[in-house]
Amino acid sequence: MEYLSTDKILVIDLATSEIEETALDESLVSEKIGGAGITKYLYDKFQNDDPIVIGTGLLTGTTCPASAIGLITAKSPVTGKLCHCPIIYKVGIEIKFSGYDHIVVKGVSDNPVYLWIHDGVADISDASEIWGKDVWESTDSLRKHVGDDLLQTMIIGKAGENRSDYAQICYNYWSSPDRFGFGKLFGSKKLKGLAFRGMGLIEVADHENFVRRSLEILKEIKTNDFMTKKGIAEIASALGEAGIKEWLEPIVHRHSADYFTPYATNTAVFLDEDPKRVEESKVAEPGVLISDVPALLAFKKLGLSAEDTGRAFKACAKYGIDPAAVAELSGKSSLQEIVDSFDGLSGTVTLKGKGHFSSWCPLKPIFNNFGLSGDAAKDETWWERRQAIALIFGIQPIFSIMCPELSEEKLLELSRIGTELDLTQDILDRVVADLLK
Amino acid sequence: MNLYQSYADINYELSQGKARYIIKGDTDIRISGVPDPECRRMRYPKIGIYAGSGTSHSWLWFVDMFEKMGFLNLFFLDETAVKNYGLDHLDVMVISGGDTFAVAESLGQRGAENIKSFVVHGGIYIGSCAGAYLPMNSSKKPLNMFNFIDVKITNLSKTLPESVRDSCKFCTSYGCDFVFHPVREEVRLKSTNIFTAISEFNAPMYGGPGMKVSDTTTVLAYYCGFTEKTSFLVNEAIASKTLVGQAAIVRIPSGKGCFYLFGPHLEHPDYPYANKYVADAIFWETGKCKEMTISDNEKSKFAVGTEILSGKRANDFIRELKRELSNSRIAASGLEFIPIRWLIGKKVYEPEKIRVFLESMWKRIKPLEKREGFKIKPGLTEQIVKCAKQTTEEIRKIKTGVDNSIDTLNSATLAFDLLHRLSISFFELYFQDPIDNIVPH
Amino acid sequence: MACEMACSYHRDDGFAFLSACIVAYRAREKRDYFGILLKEEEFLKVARPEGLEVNRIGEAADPNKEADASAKPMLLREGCDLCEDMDDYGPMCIVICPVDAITLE
Repeated sequence: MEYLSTDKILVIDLATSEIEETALDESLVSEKIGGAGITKYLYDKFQNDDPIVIGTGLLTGTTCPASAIGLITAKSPVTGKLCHCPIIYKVGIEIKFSGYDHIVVKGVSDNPVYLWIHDGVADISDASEIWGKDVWESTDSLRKHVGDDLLQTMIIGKAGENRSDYAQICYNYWSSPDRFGFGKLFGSKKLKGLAFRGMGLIEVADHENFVRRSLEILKEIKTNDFMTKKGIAEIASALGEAGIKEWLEPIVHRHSADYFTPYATNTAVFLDEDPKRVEESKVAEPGVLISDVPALLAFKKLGLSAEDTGRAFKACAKYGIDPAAVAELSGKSSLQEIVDSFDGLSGTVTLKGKGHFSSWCPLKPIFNNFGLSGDAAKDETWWERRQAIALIFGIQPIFSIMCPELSEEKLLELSRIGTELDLTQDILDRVVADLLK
Repeated sequence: MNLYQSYADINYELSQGKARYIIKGDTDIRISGVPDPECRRMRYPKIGIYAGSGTSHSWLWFVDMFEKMGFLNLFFLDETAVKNYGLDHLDVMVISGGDTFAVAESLGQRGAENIKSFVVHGGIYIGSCAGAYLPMNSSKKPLNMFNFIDVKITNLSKTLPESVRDSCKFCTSYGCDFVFHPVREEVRLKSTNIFTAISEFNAPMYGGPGMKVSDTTTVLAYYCGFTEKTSFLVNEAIASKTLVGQAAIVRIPSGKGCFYLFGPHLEHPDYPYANKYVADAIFWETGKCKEMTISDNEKSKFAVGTEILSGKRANDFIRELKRELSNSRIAASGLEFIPIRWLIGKKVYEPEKIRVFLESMWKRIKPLEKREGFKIKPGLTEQIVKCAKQTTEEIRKIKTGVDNSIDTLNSATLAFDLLHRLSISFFELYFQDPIDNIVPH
Repeated sequence: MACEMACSYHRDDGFAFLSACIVAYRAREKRDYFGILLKEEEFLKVARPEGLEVNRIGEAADPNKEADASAKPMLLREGCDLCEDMDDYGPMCIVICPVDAITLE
């Protein structure tokens, strides 16, 4: 696969330490497009080995607006279903630029390991020094070892090592959309995580037209009203939550976006530093980055202050546990009790939707109604499809439910221009149908 | 047709033993397959590139240039090679930019003698910038070991001209005098001879000399002016007086060989016509038959190793090398915008320079991955991998040092030394001749 | 980062970050501290939240240190040329920034 691709699929067997690379066939892309379409195909191919498939969308890491994400496809150890979890922030694109479109991890390691993926090289590395460390310590340790602060990580904390059902794979220092207990899956394989860093180049078939069209789409997006808003509180407000902006504002430092995503879906709050501080904080860990709106609202509902919510998020991120699960199942209403509940957390988390895609992404349109009538069943069908589309092409999922300008037609058009493959609506419909069955 | 491709085609034919002839016409050189009474039969030249102590990174420009033009019979020399094994197996020796004093120091008397012997017996010395200063007569130690040719520099002054650029070190003390650099970047040259049909062309200067010679027939090109890209470090009138009308390229015969001295860097990758000039000079000069003084015994020192590495062993080796180059490259990128510099010898080094060496090797990994095998000297693969691992370690130490505000000069010095050694070994491997026999001239 | 991508695209005709002359500085992730670096021919412009800093390339932050006129250029990241050959767009970083954070005066 020459264009929009590294042309590489990596298969790693943790049990035998065998590493194999295969080319990404153009015929596979013509049939499955990319992202979840291909990760599902790979999961099915290797399913007897209970694989974890990490992939990237066809448009991930390009000039297509919001082409930010990768994804994890695996069977949830909690629900038993095949699920897809977005890889957000700047981690998703780093996977592709590290040299691989898709990575299959199978088998169980005898000893704790992490995978170091860099510029088309894959190493199974000893994780004994970081096994037992929390997520933040682990990412710090890996960045220090490698000598680059731009190293991107997918890491489990103690929750994953202890095989908690609510263990998350965290990205760098932050909580993730993982609602499926993938952290437990990693832990059961003695896989501490993955580290990515790469300086690759992605070729584009008709690069002039691809960029021209990308910029035209961006221009359309910029006319949207949501461009005057930013952060998670605005999203929560748009979902009908009253008072959330005023509640959170005193601790908000800044809002930030995933790669090339026009709306800033993440909010950094400062807990141990003046949030209004502009200069670099002298405090090493002044706060936390929050992207999880449902978890935010859940903590607020428990009666926590904004600051305690922030601290709860920080504790969850370090421990590597799903903050939404903690908020729902802890049954506690004070910060310390909530944190103390991590180890013994039990119960069944309410997973919204059909369970294929993460309910970290709100289940209804935001800022724009996409012509929907408000019928719950239709909204859910719309949402499932929208998530599938986002994860096939590599589009930030929350952005995909706020931006009607990023239509399926336009994504297909860009894909055709970028790959010179005849990718049609019919093919896309088939891939989506396969994902949703 | 692409300029570089046309030279690559010629070199390929020469490497296959095809007869090609070069003749100096009135306005250009001509290359043909038919001999002419005035022609020279061309040879596929053996070119040694000096990459030892004191060199900066501009020798990599020669590597890129030669590779693009198909001059693939390349040897990479450090000071030990020049001192201990001599240069007689080569047709051309190239020394690019760097710290002239450090180069002289490391080559020493033995290195100087070997260079002299090489040229006297028919070898072609090409010196660019620091490499141009090296063989000029000088009373200063250690340059006085290299008093091979009587060329004066015009950018030498008892009184220092006023700088027009704040905080720019544009001079070096030289005894009671100063060697100063009147300009940086692009200058205009006018050719006097027929190595190129293009009578005027541009090339960049980074500290190289303006030259004055007693025999003007040895001047191949003069500085004839400046361009809008020229960066003046002194008053323009002084810069003009120092350079315009002075020699930019000279060819000084010595014994059966000659010294080519370039003030500007004709090997810079953005200047194809300057590159062409170098290539034409090499083709012309190596058309003469060179006296080979090397004995059969000594030849074996330079013989390609007899160990054949192929199949899984070759793949494993390249994978290991790729791994360590990637690790080094990533650690180097972590340093990229950190405001730190190191004074090593008389030259300043920056973190970005680490990446220059690494990128030069990294971009050649893919072609290496495609090779079926290698003929190598025993132990070379282990040496390369070990050096690559040590390089990664040192660069990571630099990062840790910077993060903890610890002095990193020792690590940086070691890292740059390792990079030099690694690049030399890497390029030796990369440019090894895949052809078993070269048809002799 | 889109600015890096667009700038690198202008150099390489592909999607990468390596040869961009504008770089999003994001190495202080935990402290939520970010900036933009712009490499020009002779200067490195550092846009911090506190304000703009302009450093001559080849100099340390210490103004007593001098650049070396004989230093050879690295040729890894070229200086910003305002995308002078991109007639349709002008500077790519400006065109692509989704929040119009970069302007040209």
